[in-house]
Amino acid sequence: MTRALLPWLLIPLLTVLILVPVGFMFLGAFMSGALADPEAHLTLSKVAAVYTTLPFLRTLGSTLVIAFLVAIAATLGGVTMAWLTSRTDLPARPIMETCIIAPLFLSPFVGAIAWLVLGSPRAGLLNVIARAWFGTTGAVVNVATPSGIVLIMALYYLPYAYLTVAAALRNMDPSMEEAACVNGSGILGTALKVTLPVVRPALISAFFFIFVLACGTFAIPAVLDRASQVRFLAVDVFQASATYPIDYGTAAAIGTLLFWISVMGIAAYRFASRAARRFVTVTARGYRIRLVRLRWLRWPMAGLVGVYVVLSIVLPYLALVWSAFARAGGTIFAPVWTLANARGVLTSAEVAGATVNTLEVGLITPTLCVGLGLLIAYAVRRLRVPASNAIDYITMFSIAVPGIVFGTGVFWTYVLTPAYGTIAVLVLAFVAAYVPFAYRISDTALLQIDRALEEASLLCGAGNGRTLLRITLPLARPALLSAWIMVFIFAVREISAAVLLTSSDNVVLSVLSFNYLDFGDVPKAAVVGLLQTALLAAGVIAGRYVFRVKLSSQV
Amino acid sequence: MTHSGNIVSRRLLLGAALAAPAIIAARAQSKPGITDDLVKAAQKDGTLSYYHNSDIGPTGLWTDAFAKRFGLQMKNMRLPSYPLFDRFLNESRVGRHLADLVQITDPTLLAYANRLGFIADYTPAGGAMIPGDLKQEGIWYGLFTDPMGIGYNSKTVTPEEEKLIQTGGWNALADPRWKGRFGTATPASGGSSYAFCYMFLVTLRAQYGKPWFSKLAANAPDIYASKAPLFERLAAGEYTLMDQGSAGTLSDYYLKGAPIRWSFPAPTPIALTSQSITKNAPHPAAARLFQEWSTTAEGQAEWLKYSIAGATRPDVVDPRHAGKLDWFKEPWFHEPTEFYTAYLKDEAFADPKKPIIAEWNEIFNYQSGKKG
Repeated sequence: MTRALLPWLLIPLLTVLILVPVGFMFLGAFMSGALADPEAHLTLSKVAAVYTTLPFLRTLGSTLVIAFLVAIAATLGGVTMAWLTSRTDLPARPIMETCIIAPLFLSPFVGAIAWLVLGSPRAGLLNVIARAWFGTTGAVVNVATPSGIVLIMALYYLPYAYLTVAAALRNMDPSMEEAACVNGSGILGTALKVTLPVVRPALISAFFFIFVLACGTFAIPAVLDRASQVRFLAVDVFQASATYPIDYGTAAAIGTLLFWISVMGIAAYRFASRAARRFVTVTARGYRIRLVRLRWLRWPMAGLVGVYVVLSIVLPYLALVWSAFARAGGTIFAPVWTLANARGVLTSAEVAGATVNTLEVGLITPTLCVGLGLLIAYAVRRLRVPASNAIDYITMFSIAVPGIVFGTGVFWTYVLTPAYGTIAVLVLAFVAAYVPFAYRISDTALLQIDRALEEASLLCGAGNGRTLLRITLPLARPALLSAWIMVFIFAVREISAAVLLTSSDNVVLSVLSFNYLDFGDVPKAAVVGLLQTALLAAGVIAGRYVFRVKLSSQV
Repeated sequence: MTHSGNIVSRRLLLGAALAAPAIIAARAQSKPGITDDLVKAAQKDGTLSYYHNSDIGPTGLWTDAFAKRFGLQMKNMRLPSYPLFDRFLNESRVGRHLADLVQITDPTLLAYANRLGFIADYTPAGGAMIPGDLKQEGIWYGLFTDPMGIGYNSKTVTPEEEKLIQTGGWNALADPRWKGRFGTATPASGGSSYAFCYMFLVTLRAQYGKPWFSKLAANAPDIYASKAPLFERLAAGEYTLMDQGSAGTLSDYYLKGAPIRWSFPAPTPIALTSQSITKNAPHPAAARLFQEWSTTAEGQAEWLKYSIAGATRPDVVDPRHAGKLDWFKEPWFHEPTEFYTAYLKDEAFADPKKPIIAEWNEIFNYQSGKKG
């Protein structure tokens, strides 16, 4: 494959995968009805309503505030955890590290179900226990509030900040910290005055990345805020597409609004990422990491990580187990256990089919994503093909579109093709949605590989394709495998687009749990959630111990 | 619009049912519609694609029973009522015909789809046994009925409050004591919610209307965009009571041991699960066979094995009802005395713009899918 031909392959491919669905979203925003409705006509009314009227602007404000707070909380938490596990003598660091990224294995949708069971104001298990043990009267925990939603979203986005900042911290030369210590600076002083400025680009990058993800999040506010007390744009998109009269125009118009917000967030993210990578490349050299001694703070800091683990993993899983196996009518103090829900779910043909579909999507999507991501990174970074900037931008486009709106665009893109209604349409949607992640990880990996190795291959007569396969690919293997695992996690958990593209032939576990919850069947949704987690854990454990992939070292 | 013209006497629906044998061995009755030729043609189709909005568990068991009986493969797709209908509409409009049958709880939308030319004209033999107001001959057939009342959590009410719920009629909902203890769903959430609100805002406007709903709104209910999760929260004790309480779902929670009870003030709106064959069904014979079977006593009795909603055929009676089992034996349980189904024949109800949603949103200060 020559340098000149690659753009002719990549640009049409990315156009169909990403630009056409995004284009349908913009077209839909200017239509009075569904695209196929013969009575629908072009209009500015939907866009005008969304961009200029008070209800939507209030919701926009609320979304921005919530996403900002989530990004701040998750980034601060992630930075703290990353510093503790990367640069200090925190006890049991490998276990702590695994625990901190463990929330990635729990679908945010399922995690939200768990927190609904734990933190509803009256019937939430935590409030029931508080009333019984401490005689409290009001709600001690209420997840159905703006602060509750911010907290739960932050819990599940914290690993993203952790992964970004931990990688930067690991690559940081510790001599600067040592110099600060020698000159009398304490632990906090060194962390704030030396470490923090050095990782600032990674931190800013993590902040904007989480901000963009939070703006487009649908599952957590939709599940927790069943009574619609909190305004959130992505939830409005879902309601416009799910309640009567179904209003695709408004849904698409809100989608375009989210798109512009995300584009700005991504621009800031890319700027910070570039700065972060420049920093890492310049300072990457041989050194011995000397850990900061926490002294008396060692165990309190371990306790801090423990609190996070309890809130993000232990309590939600206990709630899921409670929901799945406790009979209705029992109490937390006198439970009546039952296997009926688990038996009912695990023996049903729907779950068997959905499990197979989930595995298919979970295996094919990351494989295609990583292949495409690497090809794009190689074309843009190494070959510097014509239109590199365009390819780079188009690849990152889908991050800017909320999954639920992107799913609508994918529907119109493929409805008349054989892929529609099959696993293939889910794979196409997910590849488009997650190729930016695979691309960024591949890109970072290429940056870390000395070009001289590839140049030696080329000088010895190998072509670009052979060099990619024989030199670059093996060297980038650890990063690519970790990208594979990351996209595997996303694909198994994905719900927003999957709900819009579901059919009788391609139901996946996330859609099944959504359908159970839509019928108020929390126990069965919990069983499916646990099953989904088992699949994710199996995939990640296989990656960790069979392929030696360390997720936290490559992002 | 008059009240009297819209209320169907309970006798009309359940009288015949009580007079009939508990469950009729139905194969003989179903045979006229289920011919050997139809079965063979359906088996040649091989597969049936069923778009539905019902609970996936019971529906899966029910359709499996059909598939085993006739040697077909079922492909079920479940979405909430309106997204499901919209999906079917969009697919039909672009000529992507995947659904053989569509089943939702707003039959007026099926009539609307018929006007657009997307519904097949087919009259199953069993359709003759379904009361006239629960079908539109040749277009859609009501299969199951689900009365809607007031659901409440028996652990969170006092005896006096329970008495109010059981005897106070619909006005019991307007009592200020429920402030902060009440959950409801927007009429935009689905066909049954819309039918419920339609009765008060249109059919019984003179008696209830805006003033009554304003009292409900004054109790600051939590408003759900989908009704189903509200049942779960009621069972968990998050709310004391809810309106639009579908008996099928409430009784399901009762059977699971949840502290759930309910009352049926008069008139009691009925949600009707209805089914149509699509005009361009990819498996037309299989679709006809399924509708034939669904409208037989056998098919409807099979449904009652897995679900609690009532059958539309008067000759199919829930064995729990006949044997005074489960909630039928409870002292708090009282049968509904009169049903409200006339919305099914009300042209204004079928208005696809669903104008009462806007009025309801205004009363509850609920805008753009959000509380104002």
